[in-house]
Amino acid sequence: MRTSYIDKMSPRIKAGLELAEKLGASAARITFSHHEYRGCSFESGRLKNTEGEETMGYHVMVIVNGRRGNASGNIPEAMEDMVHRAIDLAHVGANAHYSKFPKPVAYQDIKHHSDSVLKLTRDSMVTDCQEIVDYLKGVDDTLDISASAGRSEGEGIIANNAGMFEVERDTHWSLGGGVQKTTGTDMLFAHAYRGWQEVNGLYDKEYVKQTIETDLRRASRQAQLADGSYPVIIPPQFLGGFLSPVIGGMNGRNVYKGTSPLKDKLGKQIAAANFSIEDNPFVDYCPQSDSYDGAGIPAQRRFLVKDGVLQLFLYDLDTAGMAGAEPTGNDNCSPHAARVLPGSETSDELFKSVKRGLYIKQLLGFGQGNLANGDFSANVALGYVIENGEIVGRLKNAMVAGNIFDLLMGDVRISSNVDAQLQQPYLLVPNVSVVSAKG
Amino acid sequence: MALIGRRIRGFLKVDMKQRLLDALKKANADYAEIRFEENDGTNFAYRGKELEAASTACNTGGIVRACKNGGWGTCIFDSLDDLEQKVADACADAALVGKEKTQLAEVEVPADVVAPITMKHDYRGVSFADKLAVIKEYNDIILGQKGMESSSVSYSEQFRRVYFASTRGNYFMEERPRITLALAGVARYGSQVQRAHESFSSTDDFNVVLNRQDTALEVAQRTLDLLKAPKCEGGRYTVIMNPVFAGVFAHEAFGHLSEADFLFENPQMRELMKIGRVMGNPDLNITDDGTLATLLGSQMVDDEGTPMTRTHLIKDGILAGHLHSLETAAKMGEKATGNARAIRRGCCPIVRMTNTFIEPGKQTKEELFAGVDDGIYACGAFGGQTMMEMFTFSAAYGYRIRNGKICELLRDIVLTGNVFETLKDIDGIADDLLLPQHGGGCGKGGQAPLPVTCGAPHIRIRNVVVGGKA
Repeated sequence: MRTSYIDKMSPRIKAGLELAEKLGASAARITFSHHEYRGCSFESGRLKNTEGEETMGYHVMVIVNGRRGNASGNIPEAMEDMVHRAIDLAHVGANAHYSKFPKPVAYQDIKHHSDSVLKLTRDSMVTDCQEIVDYLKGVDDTLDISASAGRSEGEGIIANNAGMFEVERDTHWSLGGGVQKTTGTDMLFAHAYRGWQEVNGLYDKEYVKQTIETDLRRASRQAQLADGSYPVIIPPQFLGGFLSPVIGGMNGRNVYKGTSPLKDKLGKQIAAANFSIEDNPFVDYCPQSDSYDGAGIPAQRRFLVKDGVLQLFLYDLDTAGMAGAEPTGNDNCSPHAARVLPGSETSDELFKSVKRGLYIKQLLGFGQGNLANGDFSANVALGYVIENGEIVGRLKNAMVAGNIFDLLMGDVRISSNVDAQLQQPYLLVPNVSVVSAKG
Repeated sequence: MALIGRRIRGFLKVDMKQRLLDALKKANADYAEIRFEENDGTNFAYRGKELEAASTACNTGGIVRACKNGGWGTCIFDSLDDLEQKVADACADAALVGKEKTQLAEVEVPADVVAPITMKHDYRGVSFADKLAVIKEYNDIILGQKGMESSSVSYSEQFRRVYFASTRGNYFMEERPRITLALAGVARYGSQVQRAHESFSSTDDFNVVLNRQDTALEVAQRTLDLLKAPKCEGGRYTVIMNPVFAGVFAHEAFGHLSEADFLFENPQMRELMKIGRVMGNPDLNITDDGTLATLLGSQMVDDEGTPMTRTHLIKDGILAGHLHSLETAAKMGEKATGNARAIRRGCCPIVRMTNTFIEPGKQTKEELFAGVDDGIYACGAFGGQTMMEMFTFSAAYGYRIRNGKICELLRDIVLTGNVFETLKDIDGIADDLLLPQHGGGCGKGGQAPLPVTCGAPHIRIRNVVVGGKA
């Protein structure tokens, strides 16, 4: 980094924690982060912008007499004032369900920082984006093409008055592209993106180019589906979003508040016997990996769903206190990096098995339904009709609807191959309702 | 700014106009600007019986944008220290990018715009305890209804003070506060979970959060009713949208298409959205107006310093205008409209709507209903998304219409369509324009939620695709 603030902020943070205790806090935590970013973006096929960014911020959380107060800011000199603000807020603040942080332990070592990312220069990123843009221009010179790349380096501190004082450093890169093809009033949007904390095989211009080109080729023909129910294949890129009601249902706070449809399902079958989800927070250079949560509780690798049976609910320290449960080391009661375990058939075999169905790459408005309930009703933003195992064209002006929990209890099938970055497979679910404008 | 009587160290004590204009003096670019902001906000949220969040945030920061030979460089920062270096960095980045002539619209702006806010009822004079007492009462009302599982009641106050100067010599300081109250109920029966919500927002009046006991009761009752309501069956229907839902339709389905940053460098899109294109029947008029006093999307100037304006987007069914930044206006040979908006410090201004609405028609609401034998009455807005020509929206709730009468309550009403076809299918516009001031806002380019108003009268649309089991 051009300038590290760790040495400058460390004494401020220690003084802030001491001040909080002096003002009556039984628990106090201060987190600090500082990032530098460089990136470039191409719009409409030409270099449009290069940018630099340097930002920092900190967050103070205190518990006073069983109530929480939170204050955040980015002016280092104002940290003392923000501790006072947090204390003042705690006097009227939210009920806390713990009074002290646990003592820190030895945490799993996970790599988050790689010098390989720092070797990406502005010029190299511009060159890489230009190559993506030029390739896509060669595919179709009427496309509106965008591309972007960036790299960041960050540092941070998480400290509490139970003795935790962890210094964190990370790096991250991103590379992506997208196209808009406009033909009359018909529009196609296709895009591809990669991002990781180390420059490795995932930094792959070919992936971006080929993914977009494949969508352009597949969407060059339109196809229809009569209204009815069809098997649907979900790709790795959309699987996490598609399963968000299941993940939300495991949220301990939702369970305690009674808003989770999985409230009474612990230890019960919630999906087909070939369906398992694992949370693995220990993958080096994965942006979602973490050794501990915000309370200093160690993260764990474990099954969330095993052979279709719900294994546990996720609890942060506060929610665990509220619900009378053990904390699981998951901030906001959410998993770190939940992934569906692969199945036994290849994705090609899944496609070949579909006589007539749909391959959904993107839905528009998926989150607008009563998703907590598992119900979805969304426009097929980018989807393809499958006939006799082959993609025959793009389906437009159609809506799909169903209930995720019901679908998972059906005859789901899971691919053996996974996406290199997301580590997620393809999922085939039966009986999704399709309604189209053409009927 | 001091929310709890405590002055925050580091907040500005300098002459900002002089500081920004001095920093721009050595800008080596065709155009450069600095926008710097102080943000101060507080949030409270009940979820169920308990207050779950009480937080405050206080930040400063800004962005330098420079344009050289048509290319842009930006530098995002927190502190005013070394501001001259940040200007130099942005100019150097712009020089790397630019390979053509810089084109930015000329606009007439007063040299200085200084717009401190005068609030009708200033939230800064209300104690935390009093604010909490207000939302606790609403929360208790919702939870007090038999059958309610949980609730979500939140209050937020945000104060943005925005300073801006450019190499054109113009300067502004505008204060942009926002107060929002959101009420939601959650009911559950077995694995069925239903929600209903309402929200209110204001730029200048704490009273917006007061006296909402009846609304809290309505939210709770609607939640319970929705739990028993049948799902909307999928199919093609005649749909009457209430003003709240129709406003979201105008914003999502059409408004985004009129934002010129989607058009100006894309020949096919420019042709598609050419002024003069027939978009709907002659009764259809859609307007964007950032000058309407105190509405959520109104400002004195946009985030390039251009005064906000009123723009007819569709007039008498014909495409009549686009929304512009300085760059899109110049490149399309049109006037800048004051629609370059940034949601927070560190964000580039991009072309956004302000207060967008379908203008009232000549029919009564009753006349619209009289023309529907079998249809859907879609009310409130749960959300909306667009991919330019394709849109999808969810109604918060709705009813079946039979023989012109409003019948049973329905849940899970999600509409979709192609805007060019759907606008032409509007065959009834009522005379009851409403400009609701709700919470939430618009999202684009990672900047959300931007305060906007989406308004309309009741409208009727034929042949709308509604999702659900066929």
